[in-house]
This record gives sequence, C-alpha cells and structure tokens, in this order.
Amino acid sequence: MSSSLTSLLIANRGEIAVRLIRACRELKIRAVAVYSEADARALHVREADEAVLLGPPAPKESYLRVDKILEAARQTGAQAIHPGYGFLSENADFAEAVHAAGLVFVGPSPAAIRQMGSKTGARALMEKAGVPIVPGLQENGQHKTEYDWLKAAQDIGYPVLVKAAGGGGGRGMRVVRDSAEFLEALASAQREAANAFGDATIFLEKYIARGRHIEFQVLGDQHGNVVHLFERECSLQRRHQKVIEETPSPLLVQHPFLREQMGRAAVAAARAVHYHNAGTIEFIVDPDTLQFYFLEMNTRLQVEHPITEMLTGLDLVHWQLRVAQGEALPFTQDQLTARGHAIECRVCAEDPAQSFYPSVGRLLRADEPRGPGLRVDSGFVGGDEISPHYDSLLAKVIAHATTRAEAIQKLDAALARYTVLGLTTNIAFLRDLLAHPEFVGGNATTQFIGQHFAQWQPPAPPPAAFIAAALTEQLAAPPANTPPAVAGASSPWDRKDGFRLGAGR
Amino acid sequence: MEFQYVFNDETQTVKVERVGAQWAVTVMGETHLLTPTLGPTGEVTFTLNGVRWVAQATPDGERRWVALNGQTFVLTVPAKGKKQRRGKTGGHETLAAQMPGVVRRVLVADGDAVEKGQTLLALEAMKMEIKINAPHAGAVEKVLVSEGQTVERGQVLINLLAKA
Repeated sequence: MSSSLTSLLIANRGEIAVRLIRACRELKIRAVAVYSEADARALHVREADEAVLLGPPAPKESYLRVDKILEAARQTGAQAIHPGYGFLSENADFAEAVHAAGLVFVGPSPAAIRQMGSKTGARALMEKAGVPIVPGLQENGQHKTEYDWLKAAQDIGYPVLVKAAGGGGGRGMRVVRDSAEFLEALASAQREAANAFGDATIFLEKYIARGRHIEFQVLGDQHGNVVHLFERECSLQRRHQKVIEETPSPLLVQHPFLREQMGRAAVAAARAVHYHNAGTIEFIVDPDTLQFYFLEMNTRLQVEHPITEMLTGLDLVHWQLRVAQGEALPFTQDQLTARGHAIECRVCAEDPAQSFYPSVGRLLRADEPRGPGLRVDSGFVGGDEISPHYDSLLAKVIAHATTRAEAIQKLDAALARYTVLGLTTNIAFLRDLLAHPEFVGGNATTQFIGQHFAQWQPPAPPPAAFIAAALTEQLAAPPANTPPAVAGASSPWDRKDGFRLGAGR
Repeated sequence: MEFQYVFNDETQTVKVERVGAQWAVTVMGETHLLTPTLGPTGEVTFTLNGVRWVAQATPDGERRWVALNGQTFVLTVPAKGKKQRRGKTGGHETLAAQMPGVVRRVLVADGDAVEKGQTLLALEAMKMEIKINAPHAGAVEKVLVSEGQTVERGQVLINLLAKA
C-alpha cells in the first residue's frame, strides 16, 4: 500500500486498540495510544510507539475527552485519528473537531454520523431511500403525551420496543410485553436515555420477537463507490448484546435471493448518507415471512469485523485507512467473493451462572489457542488487571473453515484450549451455546439464549479437578513435614517462573 | 497430606500420600494410584481411570483456579477459625456488594422502612447495573456508602434491621 500516512492516534483501549496498533505495524505507521490512569500498564499502551495519558479512569474523564485526545494528537504529531468502536466512534462532534484540527478522521463524514446517529432521523431517511423499516412511532418534532405513546403501542401491538433515539448496542432499549408495564418502561427509558446519551428522545418500534439479526458490512470511498462485504448473522444475543457472530448467515444460505435484496438495500442505505469508510447496516429478519427491516447503521468498525475479514480476505482496517486518505476502491461488487464460513465468539470477564455479573481483578493466566484458521483478538495478557470501569470483553476468538460445521468444531476446540485463570469467564457458556442443536441446525433467533440458557449452570467439577488442585499444591510445596500450603508471600505458588519438581533449588 | 476445597458450599477432602514412585490420592471415598508429573509451566498431568488429565491450577488468595481438559473451575480453600461475617445476627443484616464497581444510586436513607424486594441501591461495573434489593421487610439501620463511591466485592453497603 502506498501510504502518505505515517502516524495514527488510536482513541480507544482494549482488544480493538491492540488490533489497530498491529495494523499500523504492518503498514509502517507510527501508532500513538492514549490511556486512562487505570490503563497505564495496559497492553495497548505497551504495544504502541508512544502513549499519552488522558486522565482518571472514568471514561468521561479520559477516553471521552475530545480536548485531551486532540491535544495528544498535537503533542505527538499524529496525522490521523482512528476511534475504534464505542467511546467517541459515533460522535459527530468529535469527527468534526478532528477535521477542524486539520487531522484525518478514520471514519465517515460527521454529517453521515449525525444522520445515522439519530435513530429517528435515520428511520425517516431510510423510509425515503426505500429501505424497509420496522413499524413504529417517533416524535418527529412534536411532543407526544403519555396517551399518544400508549395508544401507539396499542396500535403497533405488543410486544413493543422502547428505544432511545441516541442509543445503540443494546443500550437505552427495552421490550414491553403489555400495556400494564408500558408507562413505567417509557419513563425509565426516557430517564436512561437522558442519563446515558444526554437526550431523552425515545421512539417505539414493533418488537420482532423471533427475529434473526442479520447485518451487512459496507465499505465506501470518497468518490461515491459503495460495496457491501456480505452479511454477518448475530442472532445469538443476550440483552441485545451480541455473543456469537457468523458469516454467511445460515438463513441467507437457504434464501440467496434475500441476500441479494438485503445487500442492495444496505448499499442504498449507505448511499443515502453519502457514506464513506467502513460501516454496518443492521437488519432484523422475520424468518417466517422473510421480511427484513432496517434497525440501525453503525457508522464505525464493528466488534465482529474479523469474521468478514476471514471470509473475504480483505483487511478492513487497512481499507479504512486507505479510503480515509482519499483512495478509490479498486473493486466492484461483483469482484468480491466469500470463501468458507467464519464464526466469532466474545470471551468476556463475566459469570453466566450469576446474572452475568462482571468479574474484575487480575488475570493470572491467559493461554490463547493457536492453529490453522484461528484468530484471537485480545486486549490483555496474563498478569494484566481487568478494571471495572470499562466493558467486560477480554478477547474475540474467530474460526474459519470450509463449512459451517467445521468452523463450529474448530471454534469449540479453540475455546477448550483457551485457559483463562483468575477471572470468571463465559467460555463454558459459549461452548454450550455452540453445542445446542438449535444453533447447530442454524435456526437460532434472537430469543435463543433467553429461551434455552436462562437457568444455565456450569458443570460441576469432576473428581479430577480436586485431585489436580491437591496434587499441584503437594508437588509444588516445599518438601517434607511442612504444614499444608496456604498461599502466602513465600509460597512457591507465587512463583511465576516454571517451577519444576525435583529441579533442585 | 490433606487438602480441602469448597465448591457450591460442598467441601471435598483430598488425601494425598506418597507410595513409592506413585501417589495414593483419595477423594469422594475412592482411592486412586497416580503417577503425576509437573510440567514446566506448572501444569500437572495424570491418568485417572484411563482418562489423561492436563490441569493448570493457580492460587489466588483463598481461591484455586483449576483449568483441565477444556473446563475451568474455581475452588475455595475453607477459611480456618474465621467465621463468615455476612448474613444475619439477631435481626441485624448486612448487604454486601456482589461485584466490585461504582455506587450509581442510593435510594434509601438511614431509618427508612423498606418493603421486601424494594430496591435500595444500584451498583455499576463494566457498563452493567445491578440493583441491591431488600431481602425482606425491615428498616435501614445505616447506609455505608455514597453515590459515586467505588466499592470492592464483598464490601458491606447497607446494614438492615429485619422487621420483628
């Protein structure tokens, strides 16, 4: 790649910051990291060429501080800023400020972010562009009374979704199943929206109860070319947070004509906002009627982008950087091909057996699986501290194979080899999801996890687990009649080097 | 030597005894003769009833993290002589944080009467909010934390006085 870009500031943390830094390495671009006090020793800081402290741990005082990030760019001479996902990635004011500072924003235009960022505005825009939208009600500039909302919910038919206009990624969104809970849900959604997004605007949508979440990756340049890079199915969700993503979609494999239609709609949606850079059009599909509806557009790189990369062989981050510098896409839609099947799962520091409570603390050990067709994007290594201030994503494990069945097998085997100690993770839960017949059959809807895994419990330890713990303590303990080892400062348990039995010390 | 581990409130005792080149290991009423090896990264390998186990066990305070054959378990070493201080004593009850995080909202004050199930406080960590509800009716004896405060797992948040 011929690149005039020689330095990039990465306004993010965790696995995505690490992934972006590695892309910089490949392209011989100097990578500048930013970090909060909680992340002073984080992997992304260690891997970057330079790192600038933003402030205290709370995102509002660090990763969301536009002024400090721009100052960091100025200080380090960074020419461009990549926002990653989350944080400031869909903040139009930030993108504008980056431009105003004379820097390249690796993403779409501020106008496109703004248009798609207003969920209500986007709905109106999509309707105009001929992209199907979910039946619903929004304010459209006039105030709606409780009566109006209640009446609309009745007309749309329960269950309905109350969504924050400024929300996304499952935040500021709730399902209401009948009129008795409606007004309370409305009020709390408005409160949450005002708190989380600084905008109390909400809207109503019909809730497609047994839907399939299928999204299309789009890529546009600044010369008006837009293509889609096929779909990703993300129906496995828990509280609207994606858990497992795959491509191609098992549903669209059965209905290729639907892929055609949805792909065209995705490109039309992107064109409607003159989109450039990488973005994602999310649809919900009713598997009974095969109707699809626009949900929202994510005007940034997605968490699950690696499966598209595995499937198409394209590096999305490289392309983001190229089109951000004005390069034109050298390929057309019909020149793009997909190969095999790719599947990703999100390994999180949370306890699926206890309401998915976050698990915070020191990661004692993290042995990542390796092998052909495997990719692990992680933001942490053994010894790292996992802070309560940010989200619980530790790593993404991605498998690519010729068929879906092989990809699932490969992913499961990879998870089995992924040893994470010190924090409770969802690995066992993920493996059970992958093994469920409904998922294996390619029929899981967005209800799947709630339906089958609400009462999930991890398997009880076999006798071998107790034996392993005891033997390890016994073998690692100092020889002869010392009292049972209790971990303490002087215990050989604390040794990080490879203590060997009988190694003479 | 004897080791004790708790999982799901159940205590298992593992007896380990050297017998020549082997180890006699007794757990759940069965004794196995094993020839374990300790690998360079601390992993222990042994064959039990024809199954080969490769385990990585790591201590973490009183916890023992054990990863073996694709699964991970957390066992706890029972505390000696120290009674768990949580729970009820004569109508007094303490509510502790189930996870480390930040106190988002405090919804009650000292002296408030509360109903069973009433939300008293909301904690947030990793973008997740959890509510601390009253386990039964009673009165708030003391709120020990304030909004915005960072708390540890197990830290007492509220003292409750159960209704007589």
